[in-house]
Order: sequence, then structure tokens, then C-alpha cells
Amino acid sequence: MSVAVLSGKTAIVTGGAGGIGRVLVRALIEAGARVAILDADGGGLEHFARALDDDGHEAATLAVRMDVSDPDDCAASVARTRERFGAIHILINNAALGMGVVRTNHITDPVRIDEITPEIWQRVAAVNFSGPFYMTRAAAPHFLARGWGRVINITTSFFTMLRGSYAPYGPCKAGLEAWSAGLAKEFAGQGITVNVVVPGGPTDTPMVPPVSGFDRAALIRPEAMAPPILWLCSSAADQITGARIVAAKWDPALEPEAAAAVALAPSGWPDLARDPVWPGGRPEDG
Amino acid sequence: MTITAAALAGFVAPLIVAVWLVQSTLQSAGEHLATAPDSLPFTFHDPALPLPDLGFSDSEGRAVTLADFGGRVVLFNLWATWCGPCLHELPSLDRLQAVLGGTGFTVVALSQDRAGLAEVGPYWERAGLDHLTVYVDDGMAAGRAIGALGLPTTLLIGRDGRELGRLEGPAEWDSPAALNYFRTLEREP
Repeated sequence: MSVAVLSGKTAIVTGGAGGIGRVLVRALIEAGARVAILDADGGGLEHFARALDDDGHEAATLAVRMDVSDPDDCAASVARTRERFGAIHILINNAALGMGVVRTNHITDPVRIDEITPEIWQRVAAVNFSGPFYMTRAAAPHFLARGWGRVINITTSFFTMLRGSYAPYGPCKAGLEAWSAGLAKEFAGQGITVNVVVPGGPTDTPMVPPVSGFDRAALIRPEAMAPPILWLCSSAADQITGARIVAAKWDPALEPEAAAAVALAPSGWPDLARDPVWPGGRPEDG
Repeated sequence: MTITAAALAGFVAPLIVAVWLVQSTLQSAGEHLATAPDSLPFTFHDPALPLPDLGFSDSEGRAVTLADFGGRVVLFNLWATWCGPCLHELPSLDRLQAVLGGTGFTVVALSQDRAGLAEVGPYWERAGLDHLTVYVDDGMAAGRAIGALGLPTTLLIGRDGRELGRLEGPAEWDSPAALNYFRTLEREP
């Protein structure tokens, strides 16, 4: 992707100080965007913000410690971003809690239902599923007023959504995936695209801790997320909505359209939704 | 083969112990006098770091600060009701407090739940942690002030209120080795 395709654009990245978040923030800055970095991890956020300042990116960045599970925090963060940069064009809902909040060695020793307390379930649902809704709800009026906007939701592989012993992470991501597909339809024709990007498998970030036992060298690099996301943010992807890109299958050496031909599919499960039993035939927004 | 292996083990084991003894002697020459067991992988600071006087509140809503525990060795644990590894280690912190909590040593477990007592209260009643006291951190200000990177995070704080070291992630806090370590710390001048 050529440099500065996002010049003049403002992006919000939730979980912006995390493993994938940091990569996206740097990629967006390099592409010319101004970036609000939202994260609940105050220590990590401060550390990352200082590193960005040291690299001369102070003017292009805003660090906000917040919690996406709090609707007021979400609204306030969007307001602060608008105050600082004057506009909001791109929202990347990247913040999420992994299965490590249930137990860190969940890969080698699967989690049982009795280990998932209601507090853990509610917290993961609040961050992974409700958080993107609160953020998008707060940003949507700005997108609608401008007639241009990008919502990019990070979900997960279908395998992970459906695998055993992976609740509440998997089902919450499946919910976000389904909502993304529906929201794309709601915003169709209004200049706002809603797309999903997934790494494609376990990724080399703190969400996959050393105790998981994976060979780190075999994990997907978080850097793989940047090229397809930059493309979705650019004007070249104005017509791409309701899509899902598997980053690990995106070849950055190809032209984006050629890479997309391999890595892009509709988001959600449209094949399974094709034949509804519906009074009078078929609903309009099918 | 078996005999060889056993013989080898017999030879190697004393060597390992010897190396360990030398290492622990070297380490204990540093500022943190006792050496933490491998099961408590603290990252120590040399010298110890000053801490801000963190403020939080107890179950009655009364203001508490870290200075209130001054003069004691404090094991300061940040946890939340939604953090599985935190809940897993809390009972061991509770047992540690039962054994060693007093005028020389105490465990302070501070919840990082956003809703404070509304979330922590019901959990605490269920959990039956009799020796720890509920502390909540409204606005998670203390967690932010100490720059915790995740939960659980546990700080070891010296009698002078400075942070000796911190451990990120869960641990078994009342293993014999851990008890021995905290006992030694408590007795150190």
C-alpha cells in the first residue's frame, strides 16, 4: 500500500496498546492518519504513547485510557477524539479479552463450564461483544453526518467460534461477526462500510501467552493484519462492505484487489441465511 | 541403562544443589536479602522503587491508603472478579494471610472491578475468603498509578513503603517455599 493514502483521516483503534493494536496504530500513522489509541491497560498505553512520542508522532496521536465495556467511556473517548482531531473517519474495534481471563493454560488444559463464573462471562461479553457496539454507536453519528465512515471489527476464525471449551471468547466473537454483517446492510448506501478482519489463526500477541505451548515461530505475525486493514480504510475500498478478510491469506506482494480475491469473503453466514421461512415470501433486507 | 541413569542422577543432583547454593548466596548479597523461590518469579528492582501513596476504599466505603499499612511487609495484589487466574490464586493469598498476616506482614488484595463493591461484594460472600479484607479501587486509579500491565499483578512492598519487586500472573502463595520466603522477609531487619 502506498504511503499517505489515509492522509487527513482520523482513526480510533480500541485495544490500541495491545499486540495487534500497536501494529495497526503504527501502520495507520505511516499511512498518514491521525490515531486515537484507546486501551484499558494504563501501563501499556503510557509506555506505547511514550514510544510514539519519541518517534515524533505526538501530533498524530491521542492516547485515551478507557474501558470499552463502559458506554460512557466510549462516548467520551469518541468526543475527545473529535475535539482533538476535528473529525472521525475510521473505527477499528480491536479490543478483546482472550481465554486467558478464564485460565492461562486453557490451550493445554481445556476450560470447563464450571470454571467460567458469571462474572467472567459477563466481563468477556461486555468487552468483546458489547464494546464494539458502544463504540460504533458513539461514532456512527459522525460517520452519517459526513457520509463517509469505516467500521472494522476484529473477530476470530470460524474454527475458534465453534470449538469446544472456548466460551465465552468464541461465541462473543461469533456474535460480533453476525452483528457486523447486519450493520453493513443497515449502513449500505450511506458511505459507511462495515467489515471484519481476522488473523486466521493463533497470533503472536500477549493474548496467546507462552504457557499456551505454541511454537511462537509458527504463529501468525500481528503485522499481517495491517495491509488488508489499510486497504479497507482507503478510498479504494469504498464499495467493499459486509466483507471478511483472513489476514494470513492476504498476500501483501499482490495488488490489493488481487490479494482480496484470495482472502476476502462475505462476513457472517450468508449461505445459511439464504432461505428463510418468512410470512409472504422473503423480507426486504434478506 | 537404568543403572547408568541413576548413577548420573546421583552425580548431577549434588552439582545442581551446589550451583543453586552458590547462586542463592550471590543473590542474597543484593538489596533483597532473602531469595524468592522459583515458584514466585518476582521481578525485583535494585534499588527498590518509590510508590505513590495509593488510595482506595474498604467495604464500608472508608478511605484507605497504602501508607496505612506502613511498617509492614505488604503483598499487594490486584485482582478482579472476572479474572479467572486471579480467582484461582485468591484462596492461596487468603491462606497466606491466615498464617502470616499480622504486625510484620500483610496481604492487601485490591479489586479492579469497575463497579466496585456492587460486583465484589456478592463474589466475596460466595468465596468465603475469611482472612483477607475487601478493598475496592474506584476508577481503578491505583492500578493505573502502579502501571500494572495485566491481572493479576502482585507487588512486594518493603516496610519503608517502597516496591521491592512485582510478579505478573498467578502464583501459589502459600506453598511451603512461599511461606518460608515471606517468613524470612518478615523477620529481616
